[in-house]
Amino acid sequence: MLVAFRYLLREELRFRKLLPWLVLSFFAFLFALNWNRFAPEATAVDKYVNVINLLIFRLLPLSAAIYSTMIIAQEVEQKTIVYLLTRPIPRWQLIIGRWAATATTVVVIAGLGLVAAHLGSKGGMSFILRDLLALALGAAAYTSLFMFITLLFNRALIICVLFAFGWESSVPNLPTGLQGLSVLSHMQAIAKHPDGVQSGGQVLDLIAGLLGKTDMNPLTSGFGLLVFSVVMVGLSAYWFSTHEFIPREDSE
Amino acid sequence: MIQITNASRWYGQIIGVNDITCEIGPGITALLGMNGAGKSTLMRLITGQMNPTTGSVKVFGEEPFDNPNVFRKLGYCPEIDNFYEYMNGVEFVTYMAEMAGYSRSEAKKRALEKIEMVGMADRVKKPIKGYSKGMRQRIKLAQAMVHDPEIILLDEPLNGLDPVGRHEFLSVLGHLSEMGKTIIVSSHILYEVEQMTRSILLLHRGRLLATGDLRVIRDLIDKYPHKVRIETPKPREVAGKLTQLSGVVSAKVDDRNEVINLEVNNPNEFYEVLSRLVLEDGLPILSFTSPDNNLESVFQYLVEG
Repeated sequence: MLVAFRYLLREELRFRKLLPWLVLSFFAFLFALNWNRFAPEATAVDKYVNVINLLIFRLLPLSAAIYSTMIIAQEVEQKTIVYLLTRPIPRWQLIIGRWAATATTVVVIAGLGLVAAHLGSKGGMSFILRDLLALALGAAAYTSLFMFITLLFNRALIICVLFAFGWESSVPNLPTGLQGLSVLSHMQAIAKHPDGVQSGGQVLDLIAGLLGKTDMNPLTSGFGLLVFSVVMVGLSAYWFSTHEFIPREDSE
Repeated sequence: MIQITNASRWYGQIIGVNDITCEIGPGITALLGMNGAGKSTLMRLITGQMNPTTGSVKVFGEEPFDNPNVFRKLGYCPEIDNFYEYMNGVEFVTYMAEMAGYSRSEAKKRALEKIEMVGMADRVKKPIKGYSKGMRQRIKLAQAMVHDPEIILLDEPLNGLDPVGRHEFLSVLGHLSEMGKTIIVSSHILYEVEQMTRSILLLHRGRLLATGDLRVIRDLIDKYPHKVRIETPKPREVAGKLTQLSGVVSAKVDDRNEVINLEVNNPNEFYEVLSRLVLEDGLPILSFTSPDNNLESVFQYLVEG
């Protein structure tokens, strides 16, 4: 399992693959630095919280969607899956090792954004650990869900991106009760950013998924994301161990 | 070692292999068949990439699908030409060795050994994306052997190799066979197979058409007249001389007046006489080929008689 983890992590953290995310982190830094253009009275904490909600939390599902395809779907697409499936390593270990690598990569990417937001806003130091925990649990939930989707469908990336920007943009803005169906809402509950933060206006709050009232318990949300991740990883491991994964043109 | 019992595999409405029963033991066995005959499907069943729709496939008495016990003793060199292109040869084979359960240092040691064995030691530090087809084939063989498996399956391994590469590849296979390994090689080229082994499994449209010694098939072919195509600037003169030979059944000159199509009963004897006529009597022949020397003809003989 560790070998599968190590090699995929190494591939995912190659500079070429990280470069777009480094650019986005730099963009987050610039965004935080210039936040006062949207809200002239904003404090350092306001800037930090807004950049985290608008960029880092929102980009997490996108990076999770892209990297989750590398767990199995990309191997099938590139036909290199054959090398992995003919090695003496049980399939459940292979997929769990590769999922752990992908979740770690997504946390690293989000961590870069977190640091960039902090440096740009010169604030939010007291929230960094909670935000990192929210991002880690969010990354686990998103990657495990997307991994399962990539095992089930051929054009999974489209479904994952639709989920990331459709479902996750609308559900958190709905009235209380339905928010529990969104990973983003749970992340916001775990992060527990202070009330009264000066926002950048209704449109930006809509994008950040802050229009709905979040009164979920952080502990319940954290536990919920953890259980959800475990269930999705378990389902994926079962599915991968019992189904054939053969490059498409070879299976017809 | 490998037992296949009434195994069939369907891809939706299309059948990949149909009711195959056979046993494969040590030595080199060739899976021979035209493209689409079911060779790769059979390989995938043996390597546990897929399950048979009906029947069973057992390797060392166990079903291979998701079975680490089987994969510890089985190496597979696939037909695909895909790799982790950003890695170099050593990194790739080391990765495969680590996936087989070896520590990092042991895996690298084994990778270097096998890479040397396939004659790639001097060029292996370059990224795989810059490798020629022959180099890629060798690296695939190295990864299949890296954990010293008892069974090695090679899917069309000679594709893309130059004559020197082929010779080296065949000597590695011979060496492995002498070590008592079970080697299964798939190919659609009869000539290639003859250089490796006499033991064959002949597949045609998903069915196992014949098993056993290649010579039996050759003898079977020899019961029927062979076709020989001769290109010459003087077809009528040459045809006149050749029809006087005892084994020649018929001779036809084509419309362009450049080629003679012959049917001969004993091809070996005919080729000997033909060489003598060219060397001693100066028979003007530009080239000659035998369309019968391809697998399709063998199948036609076996299927249609």
